[in-house]
Amino acid sequence: MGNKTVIPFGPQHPVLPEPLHLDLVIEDEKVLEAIPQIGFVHRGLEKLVSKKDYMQFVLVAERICGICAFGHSLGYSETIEALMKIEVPKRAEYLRVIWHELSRIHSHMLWLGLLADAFGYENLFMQCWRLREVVLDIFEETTGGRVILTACNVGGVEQDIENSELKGIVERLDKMIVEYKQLLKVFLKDRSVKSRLVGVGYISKEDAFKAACVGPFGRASGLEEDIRMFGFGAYGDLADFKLITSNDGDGYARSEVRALEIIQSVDIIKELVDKIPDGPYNQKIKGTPEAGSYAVSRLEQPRGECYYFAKGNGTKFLERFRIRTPTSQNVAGMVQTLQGCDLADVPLNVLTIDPCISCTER
Amino acid sequence: MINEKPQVFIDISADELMTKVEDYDARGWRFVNICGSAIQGGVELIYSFSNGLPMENLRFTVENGSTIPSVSGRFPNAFFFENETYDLFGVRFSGISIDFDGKFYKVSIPTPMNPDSVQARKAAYDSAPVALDVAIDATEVPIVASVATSSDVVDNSAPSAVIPAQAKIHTHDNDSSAPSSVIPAQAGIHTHDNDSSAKGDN
Amino acid sequence: MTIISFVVAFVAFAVLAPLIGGVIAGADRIVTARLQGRVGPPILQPFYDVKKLLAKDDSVTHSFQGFYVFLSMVFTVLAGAFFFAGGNFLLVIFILMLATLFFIIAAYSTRSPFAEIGAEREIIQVMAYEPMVILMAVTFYMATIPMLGEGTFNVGAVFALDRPLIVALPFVFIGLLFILTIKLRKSPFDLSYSHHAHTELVKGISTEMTGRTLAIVEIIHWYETVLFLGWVGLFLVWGSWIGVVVAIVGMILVYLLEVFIDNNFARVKWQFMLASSWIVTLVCVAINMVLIQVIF
Repeated sequence: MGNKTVIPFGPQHPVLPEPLHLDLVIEDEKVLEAIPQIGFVHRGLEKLVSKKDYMQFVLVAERICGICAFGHSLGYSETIEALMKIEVPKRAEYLRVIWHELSRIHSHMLWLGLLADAFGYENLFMQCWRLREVVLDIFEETTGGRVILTACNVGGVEQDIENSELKGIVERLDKMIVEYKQLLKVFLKDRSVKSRLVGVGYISKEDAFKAACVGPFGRASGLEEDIRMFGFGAYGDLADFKLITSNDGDGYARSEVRALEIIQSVDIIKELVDKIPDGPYNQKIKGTPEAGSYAVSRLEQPRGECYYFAKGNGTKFLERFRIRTPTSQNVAGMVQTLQGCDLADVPLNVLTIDPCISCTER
Repeated sequence: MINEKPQVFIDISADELMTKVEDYDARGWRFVNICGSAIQGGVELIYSFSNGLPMENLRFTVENGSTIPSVSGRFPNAFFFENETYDLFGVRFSGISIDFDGKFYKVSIPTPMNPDSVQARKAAYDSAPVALDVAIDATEVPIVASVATSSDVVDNSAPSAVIPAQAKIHTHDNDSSAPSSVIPAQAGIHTHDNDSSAKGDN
Repeated sequence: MTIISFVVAFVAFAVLAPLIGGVIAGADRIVTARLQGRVGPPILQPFYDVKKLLAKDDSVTHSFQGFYVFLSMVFTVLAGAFFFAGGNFLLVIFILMLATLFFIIAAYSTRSPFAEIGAEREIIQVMAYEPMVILMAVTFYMATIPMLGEGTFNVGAVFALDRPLIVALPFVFIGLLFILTIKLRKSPFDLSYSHHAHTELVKGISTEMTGRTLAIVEIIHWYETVLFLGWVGLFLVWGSWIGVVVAIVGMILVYLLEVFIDNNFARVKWQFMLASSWIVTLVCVAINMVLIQVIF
């Protein structure tokens, strides 16, 4: 019986990490419905394949998004390699996975900080980002860039990391993990944090499957899918890979899944550094994709499963390249969690899918 | 080691699409992507489905200006890709669960990735089965939640003004599960008057 | 309390309180930054901020908003003046309520949905802390009966005591510390207007306040800080100058405690804030009233 207000949420809002517009119809601080709108960051990057040849386009693919930057260049390279049937040297595969797991660590830490900020716990936000600096320093020392790495290219990687340097990286990560585990205790056990996360934005396993949720968002509801478990590239040389899932399906479960994935990533990096073979790390690529060739590839980005498609037409420009990002799948799940939630939970629900709208809109 | 990711491409014809989609849904596969690519005189569409490791891609072509049925009744996350394909390539889908009517991406030139299709798109829009000529008076009318009982026709009886509308929302009754779509039924808003004036700028 | 003493207190409070309050706010930011592993701004930063805000253009959506906020400041100064001149405590509470009311009306006068919801939350906050404040006045009266021989609401009466009030009202003091977190707008209870604009309501109740109006909002916050710390000092002071020293030390410790609590809690929802403050109020005041009757 109250009167309904419409709150326009976004695209510019201090708590939103990405420009997304939601029209929230609320009544007495409860959201009745939410309609998402995107389209604020659409840059038409997929059309650039007609202007940049397939070797140059990896730089464009990297700049689609700041957080998933290395992931997109890796996915693009893997797709072109599948298109042109190129074999990648073993050492390059290992280095790629090491950088990709570092990318996952920094992305999840960024997300944990944003989540803490969204429910008003700025102290936790600052500490998380302070630990993230360790990873960004590693990026800068190994590739020269903190966020946009330009490390991956078709056929291999741009530069090498020496084995001694790799051992130094592992030591720094170990030190960081010790501090991180103390932070994790606060995150997962503090009562005020729990009161904001437990039970918020619940999606059951059936609904998550119907809405095709991917990534930690889906795994927190019990879906067991992670591209890394199929063993492509260097992931196939891991001793084992355990999926981190939870059955609770609420905001707390999603935070827990992502927080534990950081620890798993550090373990993966340690194992790969022990096993890394010597050898070349890139190669010269000749030729162009043949006409009428198609290739698809999938990659487990920090946000979920990312799908790439490439089509060649015989010239050095690709005919079509398509990236389908995990956030575009999770948007349906997000809208479902927003029905009937409190207004105070809206930023939390938007954040728990870890939206990356700049990837989604390209 | 060559990346041994499965690359399965199945060529079908446009009519077989719905039967194949229902088959994947019945077997519990997940819907992954719709990818469009402009070819001479039309658009080549690739629908991808996956079930864990195996992934299969259906490939077919449609001509410029044609309309194909939406799969968002069975796979709710398809609405994103269908809206995007309409904006970028001009392929019209009938019965999308949330239809942004061409305003999803706010592109500055119509169908930028398929320049041949501008005229064909206009013709398709004017003759598409979802076109309605009922104008809703957008003044202070509160939202009334109602369940649409017809299966594919948009419910236009309960107007709603508060949302600055770009989207109209359908429910699909061809699903057996209780929440028939991810978005619960709401009244649809139609902005055809605004849209036709905008389209006149082409 | 005579007219002269009131005028002196009014001028002293109006001039000195912002200076003290600004320094307290600057110290607050430095301590918070050190707790978070950062360095923090210089201690006079709040003054630089207000100076910058005063120099900005005013782009208001509704011109009465600035007037309401200005009135809110005037009434806050009046309340502080009455308090520090030793006047009637109930009068102080009611004038302060009027100041808050004007602030809420200022937010409602714009038509921004964020400001409206922030104002609604502010009303809920007032409902949460007001019972405690009024019952504080009531127990003050009840405590002065045995300690002074006659009950009074006059704040100046504490200087005639031979023991601090906290001896008779320990539980009320604890209740006051609880709602002080709400009044000083610190986590976990910074629902309507947080100093960090990361709430879901952009900046809550002061979303539409910019420029000079926002500068006045900052100054109101300084006045309020000094006033509420004065309430804390009320419990700790007695007839001799040692009492004043104890009160000042106590005020500093309490403020540090508030900063510490701010940095260690996430924000809670309004249902929890309302329920917890009422429960704390009920329990503390009931126990204390029994204590007064039994012991004194």
